[in-house]
Amino acid sequence: MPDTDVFRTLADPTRRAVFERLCRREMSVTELKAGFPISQPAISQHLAALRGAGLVCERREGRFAYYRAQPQALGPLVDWVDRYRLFWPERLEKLKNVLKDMEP
Amino acid sequence: MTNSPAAVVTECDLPDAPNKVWKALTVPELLAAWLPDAVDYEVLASEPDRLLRYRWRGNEFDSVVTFELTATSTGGTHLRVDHRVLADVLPFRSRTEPVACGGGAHTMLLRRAA
Repeated sequence: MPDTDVFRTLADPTRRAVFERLCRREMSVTELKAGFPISQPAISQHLAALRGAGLVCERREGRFAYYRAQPQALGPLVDWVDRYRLFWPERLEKLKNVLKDMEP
Repeated sequence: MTNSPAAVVTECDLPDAPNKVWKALTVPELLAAWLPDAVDYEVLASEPDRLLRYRWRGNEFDSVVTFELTATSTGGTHLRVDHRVLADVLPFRSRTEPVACGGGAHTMLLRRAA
């Protein structure tokens, strides 16, 4: 399920940091690595996971590859928030009615 | 618990005392009357008349709902409902908007890319 993938993928703090850096601008693996105390293969592994979840896309230019974030992949989270922002006020109105009908 | 990718906080003032509100939150028949959605959940924390936290299994995401009850000076209850996706994902920013129920809702949304 792609929605769950987004969460699982971003549950890793390093991966999340990679994603956040790529939200700011497109970067090569070398540029990206500069900010992290981990090896290039490790960065590549995180990028592969992020690409697998649709959170990052790759652009090839000759033998160089550049990566950028696809923040629209976060849509399910935004939908969740929108839904529950309407949900709770409605439920709390019902709670008020339940309280009215209860014995003191 | 504090680091959630998405959270919705809704607050309201109720005229009833905390122990009565507590019943409406914890007696199954009463809970079902206003929150029929609470079918698949697990209680994580329970402090009578003060705090109830449960994990809610959702279709998409598991989430945690925390009800905090505070007695008001007029004998009523200030109820704060904090509902957040159960995942340690992105830092969030906060935004506040007024909603129904006489309180305010704070919506914490993930930091979006510019």
